[in-house]
Amino acid sequence: VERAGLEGIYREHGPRLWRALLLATGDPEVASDALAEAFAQALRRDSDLRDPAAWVWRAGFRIAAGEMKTRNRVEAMSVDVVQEMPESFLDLWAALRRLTPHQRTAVVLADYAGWSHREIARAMGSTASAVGVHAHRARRRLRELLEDRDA
Amino acid sequence: VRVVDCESFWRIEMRDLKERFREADGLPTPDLWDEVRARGAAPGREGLARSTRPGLDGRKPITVAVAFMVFAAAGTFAWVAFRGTETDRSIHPVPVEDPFGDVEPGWSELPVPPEVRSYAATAWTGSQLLVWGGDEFAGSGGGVNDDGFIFDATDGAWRPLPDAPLNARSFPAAAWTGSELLVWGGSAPGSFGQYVRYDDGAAYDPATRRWRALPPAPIDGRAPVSVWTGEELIVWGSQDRELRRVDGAAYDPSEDRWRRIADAPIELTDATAVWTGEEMIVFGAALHGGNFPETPTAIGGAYDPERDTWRQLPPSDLSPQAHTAAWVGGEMIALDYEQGTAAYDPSTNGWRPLADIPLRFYECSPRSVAIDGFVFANFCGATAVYSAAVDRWHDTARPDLSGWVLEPVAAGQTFLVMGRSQESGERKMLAFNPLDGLQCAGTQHVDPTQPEGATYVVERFQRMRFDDARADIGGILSLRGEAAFADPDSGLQPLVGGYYHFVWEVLFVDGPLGPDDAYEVGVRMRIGLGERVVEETYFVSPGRNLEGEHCPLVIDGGRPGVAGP
Repeated sequence: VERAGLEGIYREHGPRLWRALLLATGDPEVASDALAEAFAQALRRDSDLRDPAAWVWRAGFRIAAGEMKTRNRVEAMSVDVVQEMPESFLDLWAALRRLTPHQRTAVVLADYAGWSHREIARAMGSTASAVGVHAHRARRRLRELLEDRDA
Repeated sequence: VRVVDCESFWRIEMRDLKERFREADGLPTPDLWDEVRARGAAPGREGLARSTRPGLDGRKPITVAVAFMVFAAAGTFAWVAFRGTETDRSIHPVPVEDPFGDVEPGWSELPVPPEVRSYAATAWTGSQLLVWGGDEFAGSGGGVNDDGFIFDATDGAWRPLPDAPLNARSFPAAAWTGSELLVWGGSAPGSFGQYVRYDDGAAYDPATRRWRALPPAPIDGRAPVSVWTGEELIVWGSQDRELRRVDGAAYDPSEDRWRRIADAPIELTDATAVWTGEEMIVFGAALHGGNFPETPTAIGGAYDPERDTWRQLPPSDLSPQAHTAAWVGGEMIALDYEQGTAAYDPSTNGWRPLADIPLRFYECSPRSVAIDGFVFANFCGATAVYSAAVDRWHDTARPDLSGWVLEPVAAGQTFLVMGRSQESGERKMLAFNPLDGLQCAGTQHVDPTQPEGATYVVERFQRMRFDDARADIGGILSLRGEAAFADPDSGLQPLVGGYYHFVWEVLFVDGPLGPDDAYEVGVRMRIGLGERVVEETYFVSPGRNLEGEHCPLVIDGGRPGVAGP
């Protein structure tokens, strides 16, 4: 991938990928590091990548998942980065904290990034059926939590 | 009984959830392109470099500096992230592509291995399969080995492993740490029928192709069970019917140091250890002094490395010789010699029975390994795969492998299986990809826009197989959950069979919440000839039936459902 071409992909996809990583991990550091590392690895691969945009999304989520696995306990999701967002979004942000990492990744990639379960499975190193279960449970839990907050 | 009306149960509609996610587009984002270029240009840089990244536009900056620690000779790197407090955390390199990501669903054949080692130290690195030591069964038994092989999935080549500073042995503890293969302990036949039990170990780094010796362990030699916790290799007990060992130790490669662990409250001679994320569970049989169990059922214990404490598991219903287990989906799936299976959930500290493995009975002790969502079990060449999503075992046996020695290894989302015929000596390297291998091709997808009352038909609902008797049940499942599966009066009774389940009543249907989502279906089932009734929950995905196999859900266009053939 030529630098100019990849920079264009970065400009087009970078912000959305960063937000998706943030929603999935809750940690702006992890989101930034995963995004930067994914694009840097794409840059080093030159023309090896057939679909660089899809590749950096997958790579970003795999790198972030690897980083999150190194943590022994789930850390509190940072609120600094979202504190000026609308209240309805803050409710969603808080509810996401209550999901498991797999559920969070599945629902973010499905409902924010618009991926199919097969695409999510490839990024997560899982299977489409497992992703379906994660997404289903995530949505059900989110609805329960959001309805509680609304009430 | 809970019947869920999918359309009205939730006050927060699916579209509302997506709307809330769309609000994330208002989040300001940092510009990391300079960081990308810096990283992209520095893959071979030695030492620690730091750079500062811009913060959020006009917001409180995230003072993250990212540094690299590049081991040029190794060709691999670890990277370290800092918050402004200078507190660093190690971040392991992450393989971003699964080399078997494009392998065909189901079975496929790979280049033939030079040998098929049993009871060897094996590890999957993300791109390479490492095999060291072990023995090759050759009718009357084989000798143990002090060498090994590497299967490189990126080019499909088998290559020798560099010589290890260890004597030949089988049953060593082994773990992949993310950068090294750790090997410790094990045993080998000695003179006069005695066994030599080793108390040394070594670590192999694929990046440098070098071994290093581990420091002396604080326990004596043995063939232990072991787990990798993400931080430590824990070795415990001994798979030796002449020894009674309840002690163990843990090795931390980052400190290159061992520590003793608390003694366990149980002894096991034939066991498996799994890591739950918080505890090491050891599960198996106590067969001291021969092949006779000392307990009425298989037993287990759980060790918490943070507290250095043990607790005993409640007894399972599995036979006292059971000693194979794998961790998947928040449960330990355990198997016994008689093809019975059960799941242990640490959060409830309870067991639940699973349907028996649908294989013909073999006089054989099973072995199993797990990947995310699936367990692969081997009964002397007959294989089955458990899917956590549908909570069932599936017969995946290949007739041509019957009676073979199979050595399965978890490799990302694929099972690698090294196999050797005990009759002909033929060897195979196989991959089993459960991604779609348990699904039905060409099935119509569920259309979530169908009118209320649309009925889904389970065309062929194949239950488990016992001997050669197949129990095929047709059934009807309404989107709204009112309709029951076919009952014995429908004419769709099981054809024949010793053991089968029969869906009695649909209790609830939950979902789908998205076009690709699974339905969660609760059913009351009658088992066998009606002597036992259980309630279970299944996930029914578009393209799958309740068993996850054959041609399953087909939309019926809103007309009353009809059972399939």
